[in-house]
Parts: sequence; C-alpha cells; structure tokens
Amino acid sequence: MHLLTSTLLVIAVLALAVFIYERSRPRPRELMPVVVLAALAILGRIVAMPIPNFQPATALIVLAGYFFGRGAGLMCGLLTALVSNMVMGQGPWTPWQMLAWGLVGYGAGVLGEYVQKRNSDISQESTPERAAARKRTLILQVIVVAYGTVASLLFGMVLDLQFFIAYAWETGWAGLITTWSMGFPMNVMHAASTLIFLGLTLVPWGRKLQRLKTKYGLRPF
Amino acid sequence: MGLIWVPAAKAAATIAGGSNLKKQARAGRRSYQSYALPQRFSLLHPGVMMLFFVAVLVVTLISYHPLLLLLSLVLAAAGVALYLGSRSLLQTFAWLIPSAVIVVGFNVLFNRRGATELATLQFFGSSFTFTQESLFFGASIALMLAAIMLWFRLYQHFMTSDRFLYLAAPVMPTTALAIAMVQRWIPLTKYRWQQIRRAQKSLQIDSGKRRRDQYRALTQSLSALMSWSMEDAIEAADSMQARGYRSKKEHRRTSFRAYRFTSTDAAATALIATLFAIATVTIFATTRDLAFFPVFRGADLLSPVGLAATLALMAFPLLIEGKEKLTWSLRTRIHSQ
Repeated sequence: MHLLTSTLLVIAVLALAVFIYERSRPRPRELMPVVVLAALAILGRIVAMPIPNFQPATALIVLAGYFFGRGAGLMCGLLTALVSNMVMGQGPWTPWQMLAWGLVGYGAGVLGEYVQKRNSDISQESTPERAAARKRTLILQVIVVAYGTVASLLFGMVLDLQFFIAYAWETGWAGLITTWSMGFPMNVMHAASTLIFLGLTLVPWGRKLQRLKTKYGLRPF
Repeated sequence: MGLIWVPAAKAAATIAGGSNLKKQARAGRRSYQSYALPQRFSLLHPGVMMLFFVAVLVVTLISYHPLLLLLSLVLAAAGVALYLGSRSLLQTFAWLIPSAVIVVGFNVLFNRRGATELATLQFFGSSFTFTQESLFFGASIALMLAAIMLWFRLYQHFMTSDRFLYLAAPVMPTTALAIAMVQRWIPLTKYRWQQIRRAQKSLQIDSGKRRRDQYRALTQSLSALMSWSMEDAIEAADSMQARGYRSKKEHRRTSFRAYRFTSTDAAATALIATLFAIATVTIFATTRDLAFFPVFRGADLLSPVGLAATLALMAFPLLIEGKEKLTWSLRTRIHSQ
C-alpha cells in the first residue's frame, strides 16, 4: 500500500517533468547530447556490472546536466534509468531510480547555470589575473566533483528509502536508520566511482562538450 | 469471453516477428521446450498487456491478506514457469529467497509490536523482545516482495521495448524518440569503441608496457568516442529535421501501426477491467479491519467474490493459454478424423 501510493506519487512527478519537457518541443539537435550521454552512461553501467555498485553512469548524468542545462540533465537521468533497466530488469525501483537520477542531473544543471553566470569570461581576463581565474576554475571543478559525489550518496539513499517504504515501514525510525547504514557501504562505493570518474573526465570531456556546444550552437534547456 | 480463432499463420508471424524472435531463439538454444512454449498472451495488443500487468501489480500491492499474497505469488510463479521455463523460475528464486529472508529478518528485528512473545534477548542490560506477529507480518511482506518480482519478470518478458514504445509514442513523442535513439546508440557506441581500440592497436598507440601509456591511450580513446558519437548524433539530428521530423501538424506523415486492436483485445480488456474493479473494491471493502498487531485478526475477512475475482484476474494468462491448447487439440482431432 505504501509502496503503491509512494510510487504513484513518484510517477506523477515524472509525468509532470516529461509533460513540461514535451511542451518545450526540443529540436532533435538539442535531444542528441542527452541521447549520446545516456547511451554512454548505460554502457558504463552494463560494463561495470561485475563490480558491485560501481556506477560511471552518475558521472555522465552530472556532465549532461552541467554542460547542457537542467532539462538535459533531468532527461539524461530518466533515460539512463529507464533504458538500462530494460536491459538489466525492471522492477518497482524503476520510477524511483528515474526520479533520483533525474534530480541528480537537474541539480547539476542548476549548478552549471550558476557557475557559468559567474565564470563567463575567463578567457578575456588579462595575464596577471589569469592565475587567479585559473584558481577559481579549479575550485569550481572541485565543487562539481564534490556535488557528484554527494549526489551519488543521496541517490543511493533514495533507493534505500524505497526499500524501507515498501517492505519495512513498520519498523519505524530505527529501521530507517538501519536501512541507510546497511546500504551505506554500497552508496560509498557508488560515490567513490563517481568521484573517480567525474574527476578524470570533467576537464577533458568538459572541454569537448563545451566546444561542441559552441560549434553547433546548442542552447542549454 | 468472445475469443475469436486467430489464424495460425498470423499467430506464427507475430510470434516470429519483432524482438521476440531473438529472445526465443536464445531460449530455444538453452532448451527446446522453452522455444515451443505457448505464447497466446504475446499476441494480445500491448495496451491489454499493460493493463493486465498494472491490474495485477495494483491488486498485489493493496492486499495485505497473506492468502491473497500467496495466491499472487503462486500464480505469478506459474506464469513465469509457463512462459519462461521452470529453469528461469529457479534462477529468479535464487536471488528472491535471500531478499525475502532479509525482509523477514528486518521486520522481526526492528518491529517491537505484537502480543505473542517469540524470544527475548538480553543485550547490554536492555532486553529486546521479538514477537510472533512481527515474524508473520514480515513473512507476508516477503510474500508480497516475491510476488511483485515475479510479476515484473513476466512484464520484462512481454513488454519488450518495441511494445513499450508503441504505447509511449502517442503520449510522449519526444521522450519515446529519445528512448528509441538511446537504444540505437548503445550498440553503435559499443561498435565505435571497438573500432577506436582496434585502430589504436594497429597504430601501436597503446603498445607501451607502462601503466601511464596505457592510461593515456584509454583516455584518448574515450575522448575520441565522445567526439565521434556527438558529431555523428548531431548530423543525424540535422538530417532528421531536413526530412521533416517535427514538422507542422497538417504536414504530419502517417506512421506504421505495428499492432491492431482486435475484438479479442476488446473482450480481454473488458474482462481484465471488470475483474480488476471487482477485486480492488472487494479487497478494499472487506480487508479494512485486517490487523497484524497486537494479534493477527481478519483471517476470515476475505469475501469469496473478491478471492474469485483476484484468482481469475491473475490466472488470466494461464486461462487463455489453456483455452488455446484446448482449441488446438480439438481441431487437430477433428482434422485427423
């Protein structure tokens, strides 16, 4: 019963998100970064399956949100969860995963918009200030990687919450805390994989994505 | 119900067509029996299938009566055994049983409610009481978990991505397109990755023994993969736009419909919807006073009507397969005489 009502709530939120996305009528061009990054994320998820909860997918969703806007991040998260579960098995967790990953991407999009507003003209600054600008960029990169790490932890906690609501809600707060602490090692694994993967790819892939954005005139949405 | 006889040719074509072919071939390689399994259910319209799975899952999720949950579990297991083979059922149980044990253990350990004492544990001066009721409740929830997982196993088998997209496309065209494209891009990206690695190997870029060289080659490959995929994807998008994708409504082109809503589908929809309505209403009305704590009461609350409706709803796949088998055997007997 609790699983049904909470899942219906989650599905309603997802339906609203998809409805808003459909209303914005994105051009196929703007769809493509989302599609490519989601495909890469799913491949990463499938390839890394033998290692328990090692998820390169989250890092790619953060990249999608950070570089292509909050809508792109949200859609990338939704698509990654839905399509990878078509391969790995659907279950009552699918809507929760879609929402959780969608929110991870959305948050990355909000972060990206904030950063780009403040950090728009690094290249125009004169030489003595360059060093300061570079330092600031480095700090921002650290913030993005830290965001990805924390978001991975929260993603895992949302899924643990789904388990709790579905099968253990009678156990109360003690049960919830135990659920989270039992899932904690797994979530740390996830966060560590995001930390590594995002740390390695943020700068080289970020440069590429930024260049593609300029080259093809893709607006963030 | 007014099931019409579907010509064998159409049946064979639908079974053989679409993505089910590969799946069945794969299953067939494992065992001949699973290839020859009856699949009348897969001839239904995807919308009917979706309705069935939604109905079954909702009924399972709203019922707390252990008997209903057991019924759901048994019928889901029968469905899995019928359509996917008993081996698949055993494989599912291999990970289902540990999950069920976790759920039961969780409820016993952390649920203090219940009147009948099972055991008391002295731990650092404080005593913990485990109750029989929490064990029973945990077992019921574990039944629910197992039933849901088995129904999803069947969902996975029948709601293939083409069927899902067929249903999703009219409701959310852009998202459905994105799903289809992601599905296309997965093998494409894999292929490109292999191409890049092969090219690098032939150029001896990653032939260095050192870790650093190998790491560098790997990042280079990933970088190349990203640019290649992105550039190509954007070209694909432009070409789609050039060919009139997302053009104005009056110029919209017609599209191919892979499934037709037949009178059989209408009958099945009516049947499933009626049974679903009866089952939900009676379960809601009768098991409201069902309680697990402090002592379990309400074992007699289940009305025969609700039980029968639930049984008929969940046995729907088994029933139509049985009917199909009966028709087949009768016809072959008539023809052989």
